[in-house]
Amino acid sequence: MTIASPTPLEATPLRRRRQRFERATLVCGVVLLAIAFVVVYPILLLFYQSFQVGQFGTPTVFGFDNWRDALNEPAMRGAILNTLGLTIARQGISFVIGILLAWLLARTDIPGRYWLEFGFWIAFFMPSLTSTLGWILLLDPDYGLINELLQALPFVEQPPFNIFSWWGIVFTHLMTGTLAIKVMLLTPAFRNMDASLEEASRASGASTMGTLWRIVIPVMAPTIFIVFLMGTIRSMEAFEIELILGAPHQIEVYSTLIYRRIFDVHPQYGTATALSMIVLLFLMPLIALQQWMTRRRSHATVSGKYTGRLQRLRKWRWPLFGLVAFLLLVITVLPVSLVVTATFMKLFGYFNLPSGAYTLDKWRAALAHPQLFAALRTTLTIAVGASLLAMLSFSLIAYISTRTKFALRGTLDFLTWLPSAIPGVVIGLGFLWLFLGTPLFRPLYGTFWILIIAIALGSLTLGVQVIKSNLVQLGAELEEASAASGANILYTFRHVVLPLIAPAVLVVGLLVFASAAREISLVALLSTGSVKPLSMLQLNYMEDGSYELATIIGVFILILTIGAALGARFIGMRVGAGTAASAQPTAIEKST
Amino acid sequence: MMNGDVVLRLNNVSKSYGAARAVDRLSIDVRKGEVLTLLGPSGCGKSTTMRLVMGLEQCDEGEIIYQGKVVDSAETGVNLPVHKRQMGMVFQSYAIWPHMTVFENVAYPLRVRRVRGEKLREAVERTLDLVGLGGFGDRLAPNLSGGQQQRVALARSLVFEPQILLLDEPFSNLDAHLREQMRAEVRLLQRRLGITVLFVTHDQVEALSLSDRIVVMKAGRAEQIGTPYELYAHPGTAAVRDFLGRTVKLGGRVVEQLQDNRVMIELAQGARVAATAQPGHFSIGQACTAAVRPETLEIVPGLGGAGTLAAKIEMLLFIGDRYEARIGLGERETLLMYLPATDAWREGQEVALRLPERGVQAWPA
Repeated sequence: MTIASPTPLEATPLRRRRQRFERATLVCGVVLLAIAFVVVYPILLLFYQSFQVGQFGTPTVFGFDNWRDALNEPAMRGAILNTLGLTIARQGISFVIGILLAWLLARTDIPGRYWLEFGFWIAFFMPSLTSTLGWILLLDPDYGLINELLQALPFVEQPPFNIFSWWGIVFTHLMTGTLAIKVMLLTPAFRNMDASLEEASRASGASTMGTLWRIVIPVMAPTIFIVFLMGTIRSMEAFEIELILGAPHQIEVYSTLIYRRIFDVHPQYGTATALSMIVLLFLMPLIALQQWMTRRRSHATVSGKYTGRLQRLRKWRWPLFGLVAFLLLVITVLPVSLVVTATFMKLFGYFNLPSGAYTLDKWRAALAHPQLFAALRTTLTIAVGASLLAMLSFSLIAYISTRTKFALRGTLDFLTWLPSAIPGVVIGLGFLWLFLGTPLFRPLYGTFWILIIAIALGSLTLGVQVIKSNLVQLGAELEEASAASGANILYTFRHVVLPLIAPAVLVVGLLVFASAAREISLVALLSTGSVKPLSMLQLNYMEDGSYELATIIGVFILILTIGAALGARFIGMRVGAGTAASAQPTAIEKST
Repeated sequence: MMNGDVVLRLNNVSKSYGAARAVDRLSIDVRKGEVLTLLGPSGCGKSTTMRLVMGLEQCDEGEIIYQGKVVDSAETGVNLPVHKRQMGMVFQSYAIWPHMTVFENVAYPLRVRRVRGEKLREAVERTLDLVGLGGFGDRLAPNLSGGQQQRVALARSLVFEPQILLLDEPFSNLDAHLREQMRAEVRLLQRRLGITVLFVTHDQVEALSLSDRIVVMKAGRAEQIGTPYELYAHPGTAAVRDFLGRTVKLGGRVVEQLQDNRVMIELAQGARVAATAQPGHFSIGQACTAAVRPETLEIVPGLGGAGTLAAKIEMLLFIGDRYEARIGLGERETLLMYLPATDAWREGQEVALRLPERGVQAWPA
């Protein structure tokens, strides 16, 4: 049999394969180039500029002067050593406590597991400078509340604690996120571990702690190590806490050094650029190791579904609950309540003054101050702009990465991951070169746009991951079924894809909003006098020692960040276990 | 010769993923009103073939012609997008959109085609009735059972009255009981509507019971095409024979050429049996395998005499409606067979195995 002369190619309904292929690839290629432009190009510019000698505006020549200056800089050695030392101390301590906390929350019958985990989630979103203000109130050598209480004891002569010190910086970091993020990353990983491994160990006669030490931790070792690497990369990015707490005793880290070189009376862009390249060189092996481990882990992952019974803590149940709950209150409620109290103080830190310590004057002064509202407007503009940009572009990237056969998907995935490994101050400096050094983009300098792009970039890794895991869960057949029903790509996107991923996209938008409200290291080098968000205003006040005004700004930032975070959580839970809510912790874990 | 009965034609179609050739120069005609099944183990290319037909993939070679129109051709570059192909498809996961009600899921293809109002409501409700889901319109998709989800998927693929229905392993997510029920219902529905169906499955019982014709696929090629009975009784290759059902294989050699392409085989156990020579010719004295479907074997207690094989019941498992028995044949061979549920059987019992007069096939050893 043959078919009677098949009607050859009608022009309208049939489309040329090649044409279609090229159009889709073109869109993917444009997205890839745009991401490469904001992620890779600034780094290349930094590299290039580190060999350019001369100031802005004057003709430059090629040379090693910047590198020589950076390497000969007396403060450089100390800054690098401090960076490494602080990182090791922070990671060492937070890991031991973080693993214990994750195990307690994920593998034992500790009461209120869900709420405790939620507490650490909130702690993760707390703006670090606002918490730092709270801890200054407690641990300042002159007026710190804890110091004063302890000095009331007969045998304590000197104030025992000083927050403006090396260990003060470590402690403040632990209390403002370092610990919380470990718990957030490790708890879901511990929860997914196959419980029968633990049960077999117990059945073989090992104690609870023996099982934790001999079975749970070794089995979890690859995951733990990846989180450790990610934490190390992250803590090398630390900036604002060191800037404030290190200042009195000149404890510099490389990021504060770059910041001070740029904002010096004689700005030293060259030295700062060379410094940032040195830091990237330090980070390179860590980034490579982290990528290698993540790729390798896929074979060695712990089994999926079966989690089984939780470890019974028996008589330790309530004491351990008390301990974890106390730690949570110390991390969250304690600094916040002190900061709120401080907004009503006549003199920051002085809880008792002969003429009465409390007043509404600071609020009156702050609310009458036009600068505060300008900054609030700036923050809101940036936060809304960055959220919108992120929701749109992250969805597109996630869609390309999960649903298309774009040949360079792997490159796109790597580019989306990269910003999470580059310190915010370095990205900021790269952007500075990008926007000041490229005539086409120079008009954008000093506008909201540069900050919006920088903030969105800061959330790129996490945001894309959340939407991606949502898309993966949905499966491609839902879209194919729509096409099979006769709907074209746009109709499918509008009626099937969009309604299904909308909650996840909204969650991403709110997370970006929260990060925009508190972000400092990314915007420190990019904000100008006319475009200064709340977080930068707060930093500047703290640098000047105007802590009272800083606390009031802190309250605003706190409301914005925690409000957005709670909104994201609420949407995530309402959508149910299947989608955004559960995707979030795993997404963060995957993005590490 | 012209034949207007062919709804869908695959002409020398190939599709590769990297170095792997998922579909390899496949040519199939699907006739109007028939159920054509692509059957094969996973990875044989049957799902890829269906995705090529639907337009979810594009072929690297060859062309696909649907209702007289070229919808995909590697040579001319024609490729009709999925949404313009007007084919109904039921996906393996059913792909019921979780944010829509049953009604909205089924109404979707019509809304896309700009059917509105009363006409839309009538068409959707008629289709829901057809699949036995009348009155379920307001339910949200996630609140449905597996069988109900499948009915929704079926209704959605039928509602716009396509010329062909593509079924991608539609029963594989159902439990055994429901699977049998849905199989019968789909067959009845197909008869009633007279719709052409392209069906993909790895389950030979589904394929045999549902199909008008079956294409057994292996490594991207059509191993054999024919009606279920043809394939079962006269498999063209050993792969088809073993995939379509259980086979008892006995070693022997050809001792005599008979008429009608038949040969006489002397089995290693001694007995002689006449067999249909499957592909090719046999020479006298050539070693061969006598293959027979176990259900055609007759087992009798005691010694059966000439033309039978001496065997022994090694193990007997009572499974309710019958016995499952392991039968030892000579020193090495064992067969798994079902015996009727009488109390005549004992473990260790000597029995005789009588081969059928027709139904034994000779294969090259």
